[in-house]
Amino acid sequence: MQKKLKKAEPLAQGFYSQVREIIQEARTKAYRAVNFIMVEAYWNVGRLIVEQEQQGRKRAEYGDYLIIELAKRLQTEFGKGFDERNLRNMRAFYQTFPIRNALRSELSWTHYRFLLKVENESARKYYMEEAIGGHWSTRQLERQINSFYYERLLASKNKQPVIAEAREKLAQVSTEEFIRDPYVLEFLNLKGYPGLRESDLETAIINNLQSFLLELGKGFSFVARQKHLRFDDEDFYVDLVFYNYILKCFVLIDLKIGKLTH
Amino acid sequence: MDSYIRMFEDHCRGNNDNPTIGLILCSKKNEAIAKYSVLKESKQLFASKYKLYLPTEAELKKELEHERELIEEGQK
Repeated sequence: MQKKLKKAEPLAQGFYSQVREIIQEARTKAYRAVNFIMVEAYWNVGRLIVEQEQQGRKRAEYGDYLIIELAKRLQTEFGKGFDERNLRNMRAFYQTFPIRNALRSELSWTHYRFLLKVENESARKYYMEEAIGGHWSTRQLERQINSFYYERLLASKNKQPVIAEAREKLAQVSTEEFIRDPYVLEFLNLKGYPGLRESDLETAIINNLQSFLLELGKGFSFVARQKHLRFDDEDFYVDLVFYNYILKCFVLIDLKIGKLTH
Repeated sequence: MDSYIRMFEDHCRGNNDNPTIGLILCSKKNEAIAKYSVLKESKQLFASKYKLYLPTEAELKKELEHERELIEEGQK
């Protein structure tokens, strides 16, 4: 005699959270490890380039030739991450941060790329410490640099309002989501894996969107990501749920990604 | 989206909350689309009150396109 199939029960919330946390933590750890290995590798490539240049006869010309030729061959073997621009970045990276032990594992290659653009050493050190201590995303670091946060701090007699304003804007963004740097994917040669890329692009866009809405100052507050809804024994997920406390209503957001460039 | 909104209204919305609305976003290579989604019975409320506080579809479209560009640029 056939047993009547029981209707599937939803999972207990606490249980699912625990499992989810294990996976997220593992992903973050793995990602961080790979990221730092990549940063160190780029530092070493920068070092080799500088050392090789110093052995070259006419330094300026040789330097250009070296980068161009190196980029050509590296790209053939390893892909776009090693184009001329990035090799120049690696060289500048080594020159700006000559001590390997001073490299911080909390910062991604993209963080360092933004820091390299800050010419003033005090400002650069300041941004670095703030980025690490405040767990700034690359977007937040970029914004702080572009808004001359350091210079404004120096210029204002009363620093508290400047600091408070920056902290307020930063605090609104959830730091749980670890935004994955596309450079790392390319470094691991995972670029050609379409499923992974699309979900990373989606996550990156949703993260930015989240910041955008919170910074609008129009009453948006964050409620949930991937909000689970269940209907007729089927599971649905809303990408982003906000509550607008001025309108006193929920806003459900759904994002679709169209064709990727490569 | 309408069905998500209805599901949400039935199970998650509180009695004191105003009607839920949806926002559909689509990010394509060179273009983005943003469209608010409102249940029939809430369209009047949306037009007369909600719209005053929400970012416009044009603003959202622009923001999405900018974000996509920044992210894709970071991959070169």
